[in-house]
Amino acid sequence: MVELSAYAHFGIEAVNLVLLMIAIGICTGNRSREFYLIFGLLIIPLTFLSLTDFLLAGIAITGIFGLLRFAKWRLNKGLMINDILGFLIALSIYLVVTIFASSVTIILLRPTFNTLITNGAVIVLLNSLISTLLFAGLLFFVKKKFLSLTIAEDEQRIYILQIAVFIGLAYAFGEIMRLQHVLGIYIFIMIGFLVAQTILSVYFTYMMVKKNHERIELQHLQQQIEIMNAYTEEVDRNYQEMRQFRHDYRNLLLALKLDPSSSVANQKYLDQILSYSEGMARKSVMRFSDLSNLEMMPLKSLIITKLSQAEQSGLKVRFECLDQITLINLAEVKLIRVVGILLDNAIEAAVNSQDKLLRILFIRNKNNLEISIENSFNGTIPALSIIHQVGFSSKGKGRGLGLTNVDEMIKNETNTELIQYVAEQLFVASLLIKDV
Amino acid sequence: MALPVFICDDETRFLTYYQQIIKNAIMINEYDLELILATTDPQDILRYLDKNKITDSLFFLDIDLENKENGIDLARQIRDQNEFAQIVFLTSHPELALETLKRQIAPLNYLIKDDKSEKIQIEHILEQQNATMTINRRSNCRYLTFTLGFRKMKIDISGIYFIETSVVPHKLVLYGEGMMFEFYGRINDFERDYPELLRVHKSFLINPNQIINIDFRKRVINFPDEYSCTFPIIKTKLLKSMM
Repeated sequence: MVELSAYAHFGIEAVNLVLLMIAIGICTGNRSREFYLIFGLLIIPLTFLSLTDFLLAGIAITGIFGLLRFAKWRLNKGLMINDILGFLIALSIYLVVTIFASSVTIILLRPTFNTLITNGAVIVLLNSLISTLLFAGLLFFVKKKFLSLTIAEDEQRIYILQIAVFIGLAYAFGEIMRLQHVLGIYIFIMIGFLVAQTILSVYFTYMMVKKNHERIELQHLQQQIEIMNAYTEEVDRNYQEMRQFRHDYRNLLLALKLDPSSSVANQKYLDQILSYSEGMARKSVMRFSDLSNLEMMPLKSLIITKLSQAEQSGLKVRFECLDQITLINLAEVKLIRVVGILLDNAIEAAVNSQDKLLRILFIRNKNNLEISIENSFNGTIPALSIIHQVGFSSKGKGRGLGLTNVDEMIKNETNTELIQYVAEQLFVASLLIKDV
Repeated sequence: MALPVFICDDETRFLTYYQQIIKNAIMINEYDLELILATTDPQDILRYLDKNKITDSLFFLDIDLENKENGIDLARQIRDQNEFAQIVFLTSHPELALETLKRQIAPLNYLIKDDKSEKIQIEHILEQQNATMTINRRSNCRYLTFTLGFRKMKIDISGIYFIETSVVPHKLVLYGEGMMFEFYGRINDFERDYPELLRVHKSFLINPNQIINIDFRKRVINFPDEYSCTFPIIKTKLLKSMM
């Protein structure tokens, strides 16, 4: 057991707590001055507490953090989850660094055991230096890798649980080992084991969540296909009915014509009606003549489905495709999913708007194809950074994976880009696909 | 250098009619414009453009040409070669105005033929073009330009609220009156090129003329349409001195 003077102990622990405060600030993205001020003032009493009872100090720190941020949490639940996750990450870093820094210092300086070391300054300095370096290193790593990811709220809860378990076990083992006077290498092994186990379980959770997302996407795609099939059947049925109607109508008109009692003038009118009805019936149910220019079958069915859906929802729809489109430089599956999501979003927004406008444009430019989906909207569109977040949905919880999925799908495609903007009171989502 | 003007319409009576309106307007008002070519054949115009490099120019094109493709094709070719050309479409069927064309060719206007107000509209366009010629020579900075996808956009700075860095790396988002655009760009470059905009934050470049109010306690600047941005303590002095 390395015995240090009270001042040395105090110094080491105080430095660690200051580093913890900074870590909490960085991990939670906390900007409020009051937090730093109050926590800073409490560092001295907390250090005393930590020297006497480590566990109690941990509880106290958690309590203080909770109290300070409570007011903000009441207003914004999402912020609370985010904060707790950040806090727990900072706390785990603190625990790991405390143990490792002291172990490393002992290894480096090899102080004599069980005699009071009067010149503790060197130890304090070295320990503080190592702590700071480790803290900085780990914080940098965490910040870069994890804090830039956007994690959905329910996923955050899972991670919080896992990290909380880790911290709980770490404190528990710490207490047990202290009471049992277990020292040295055993502490090392114990903490090492806990860290490894936590990292593994967090990693597994992450993989599972990813798989889950893919499963949901596949479900959506299957739903889309089912809708398309249903619509094709309906279109077909309509067409058959139209044919039947035209047949009967024609017969009736012909019968009228052959009636010997009808005058010449009536004959003329009957001829007119006949030719008119012929012309009408000949037009296919698909009013959008430009659709014939779109020669990619799966995409065509999707567009037909969505156009009909839109019209049935009471939207004013416009479809333009001036040039023939046969090939598109994007994998079919991705193309259909992306266009499907963008159309769903557009239809939904337009239905809630006053103008109820929806436009779908296929524009062939010199070396790219532009698929532009425009819709009128109600009120103000939230900033793009917000609508792209995972979990954002104006339609309630459990939805809102749409745009994030679009981002995921095209971020690896170097020849595809999604641009979004608002102009002339329409929200435009434009998919730009470069030609080969 | 006078701004060149071109007319193309396959019906001679319309051609001469427009020719007269334009010539008279230019002469009477002494506009800095010149009618270069008035023809029924689109190829004439293309041949002229092949031989002469021009940038700023004004075209009146009939898109109801016999073979409908010709009118649109001509417009496309002009636009391809020349992004500064101003194109005015003349048509008897305004209901066929295609959004795609508006996007690709960005015409200045659609004029309806056989309409009583044709003459006035044409004169108005000529007057506008004449005015822009003088203004463009004076100052460059009234417009902010950027590339959106494959198109260059020009936005009137006075309508911009602010520009912020996007969560998507290397992109910026511009918010303004009835508009919002996300495009590739570096905020430092825009700060340097447009001194009218104020850099109040690592991520925000604002147009001071559009500020509604500033909350100095919460350090938030409020803009129309419920948009807002924050700023750090360091900028408080700068903002206060501006108020």
